[in-house]
Amino acid sequence: MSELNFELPSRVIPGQLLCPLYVPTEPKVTKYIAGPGTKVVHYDLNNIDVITSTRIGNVQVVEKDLPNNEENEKTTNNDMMLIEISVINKTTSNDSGISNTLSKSNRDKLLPKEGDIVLCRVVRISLQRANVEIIGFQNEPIPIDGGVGTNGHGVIGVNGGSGGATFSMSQSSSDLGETFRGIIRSQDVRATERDRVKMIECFKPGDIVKAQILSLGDGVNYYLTTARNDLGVIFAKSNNGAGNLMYAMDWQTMVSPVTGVIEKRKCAKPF
Amino acid sequence: MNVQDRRRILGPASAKPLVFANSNEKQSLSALNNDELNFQNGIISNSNGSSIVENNKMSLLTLVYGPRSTRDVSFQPNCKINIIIKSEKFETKNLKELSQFLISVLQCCVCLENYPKSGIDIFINFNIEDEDELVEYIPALVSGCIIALIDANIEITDIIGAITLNHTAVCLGQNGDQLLGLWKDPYKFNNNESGDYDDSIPLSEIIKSCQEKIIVSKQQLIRFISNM
Amino acid sequence: MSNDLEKTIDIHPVSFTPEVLARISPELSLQKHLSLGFRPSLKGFEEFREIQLNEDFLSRYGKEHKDNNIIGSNVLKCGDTFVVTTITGGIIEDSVVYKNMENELIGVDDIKSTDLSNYTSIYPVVEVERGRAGACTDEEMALSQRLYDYVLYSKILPKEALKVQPGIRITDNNNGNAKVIYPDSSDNSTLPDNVFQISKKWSYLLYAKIKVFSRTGPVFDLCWNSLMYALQSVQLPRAFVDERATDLKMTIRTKGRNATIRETYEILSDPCQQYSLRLHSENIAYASNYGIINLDPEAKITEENSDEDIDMDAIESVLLADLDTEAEENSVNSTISVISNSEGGLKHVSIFGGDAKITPEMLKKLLKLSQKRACYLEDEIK
Repeated sequence: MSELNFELPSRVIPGQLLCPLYVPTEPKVTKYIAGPGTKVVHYDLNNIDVITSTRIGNVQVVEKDLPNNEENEKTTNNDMMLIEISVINKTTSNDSGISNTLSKSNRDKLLPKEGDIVLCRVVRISLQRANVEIIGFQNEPIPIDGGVGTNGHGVIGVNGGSGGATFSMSQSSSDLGETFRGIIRSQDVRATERDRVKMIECFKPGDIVKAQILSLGDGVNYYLTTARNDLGVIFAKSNNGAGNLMYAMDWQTMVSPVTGVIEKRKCAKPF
Repeated sequence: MNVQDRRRILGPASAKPLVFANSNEKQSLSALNNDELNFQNGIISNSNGSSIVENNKMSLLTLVYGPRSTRDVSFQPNCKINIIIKSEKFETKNLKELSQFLISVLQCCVCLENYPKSGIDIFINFNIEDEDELVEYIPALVSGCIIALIDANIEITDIIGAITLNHTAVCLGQNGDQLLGLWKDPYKFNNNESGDYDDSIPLSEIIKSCQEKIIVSKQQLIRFISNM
Repeated sequence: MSNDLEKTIDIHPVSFTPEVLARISPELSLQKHLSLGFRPSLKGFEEFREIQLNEDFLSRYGKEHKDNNIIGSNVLKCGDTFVVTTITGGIIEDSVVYKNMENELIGVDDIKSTDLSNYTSIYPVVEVERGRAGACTDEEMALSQRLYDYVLYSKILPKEALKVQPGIRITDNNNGNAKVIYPDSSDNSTLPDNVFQISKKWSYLLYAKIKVFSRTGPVFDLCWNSLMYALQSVQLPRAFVDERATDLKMTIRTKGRNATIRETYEILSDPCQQYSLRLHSENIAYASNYGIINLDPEAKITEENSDEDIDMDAIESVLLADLDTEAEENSVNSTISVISNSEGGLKHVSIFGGDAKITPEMLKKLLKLSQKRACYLEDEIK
């Protein structure tokens, strides 16, 4: 039992072994759970399961409560301590003065998950639903996509060569890169009077909407909801995007301070 | 050429590329040979992750795009890895095969389940390709992919490596204990013109010496990654 | 109603981090930056990105000797973007037999002639790496076409400079040693005169492969400048035919019983002897690009919180040099591309009107800027 007094490393790189699943410490046996940034891997040579790091970062350990006391009493007699081990990305506070806008560190999140708040742009409206493309997380710098300007247009329109699109490339007409798409169904727009929702009075194409991920949905779309006070349209222009910027007056009206145009939206409470 | 490519300006079809007569300076080339690989990461701003791996005879630029949405209609619980290798020197069919090989190797270490319904596209550009055999590029290719994946913040469980010995590339994981892939250039099996290919060495011997060598090369890679 | 409006002023505006705003509304982000006096990339309005050059280390004549077919190259780095240009060569048999007599009569001055038919171009293929596979994009096709056209119309590449003067490889019957002899070499006096009387004429062709990595904005000027640098590094190998092949006849087409017989030569390039491509260097010019955008008076309102009346009718526009970043590319509709040399001689100007207010002062200014930029770019290669 040489691992009895092992020490956890503080800074790790991917593939670095952190600890075995069980460590026979005194007085209780410690069981480690693989948290974010780690994974349980089976090592064939020694035939043991170990937790290894999967990203560059600092190791963090959090003691967890035993999930279900009754069951645990039967099996392990309370002799177990649960510790979740995870690897947190380094923060970019002190790099070189000016932070690079394209800084790649500190982006734990690459994909939206259930429950995440995301920002998306409305691309299509029908009676039953609004189709959106997800363009970012709430407070995080540019996520998800592989590219600034991957699909940019200059003097000439560039939407890729015709017909040449194999691969993970979407057909989205967006000027952003390959975005993930989502759907807000009419019953998910607001919490009250869900049957009376008229999609056209809630969203317009081009609006930026703050929404929450309900489920991963199908192969193409995430399912999103705005049925909360702080969710809804946060950024819109009048006249279907041709006019001026509008500000929310209340939760279902927006006004342009320049022209005075008033339009209906399902707005997010801005504070 | 019967079918003219109308998208590109290729010039007259009857032209022939320059063919250089055999030069007798080849020896001086191999004398320069320096196998030490140099790494760089994060140079490309329109991809999620990127790396340059180079030595005296090659320079490979690896770009990682994604994870991004796929065109699959059905829900995929795991992410897919695609690799495209672009080279002026080698034939496309060989490159396609090599990219399949690399995909299978990378699938062993990328946490595919973390990225449902998405795809990771890896583009590898051969910018300098003075090495004549595809198999010689494999150690650099594998390192390049690993660095670019880490640069893109994609989670991987192991820093895998590859060693080329006697025209055989061996990909190893878990500090050399796990054999992930073996590659020989297709034409090498039948053709032994250069004479430096010793087919008397059994494969197990090759793998064994690769396992010894991988520790050294992996340490160099780890040193670089720790400073990323 | 007025109550309502007052209320709206009370409501806190939603705030985003700059990165998120740039993603949501590139245009607004750009306007906000402009109203503060700089651009999203933190450059000044008329500031260019610096460039870094890696002169010709990819070709066989570069610093490190290599055994490849590249005869000229350049790597240009500008901001985050870098462009790799490699030039390869080809040889084509001239189908139209040159009017030898005519050329000789006119003599050297013929090269200087401004007739477009005396000039040729390079065949460029541009690849912009953006994580896509498959056929080339519209942008790549347009870039290649523009490069081809502008090289031709700039009259940089005289046909005369690409003519092949083939030597002959003579194998000594006694010891089997091969020797290549060129018409202008000193020891050809020992040979009979008719050795160089080959009835065919050849010309070199130049191909450029231009790869653009890390594209952050419009790339035409980068491609052009890189191509210019690469062209200046081109070395053409001397070419020769084998003595034994000089009178080889070959059936090239059979139609029924009729066969067309034509002389063919295998023409090889000398790995050791080469000479610099003679460009019309006074016609070499460098590209720069500009955009003009109307300032959005609305973007200023929140900035200054001013009480003064803002005159919505007085449209102000600004000139931006060296467009970069997605925001600028998408929001700036009036773009101007200039190819100019360091003396201010213009080789090409294209102006896309767009929607912005373009004043003559701006045009004057940007022409001056292009000349300065060309000076800078020209100095880089020296």
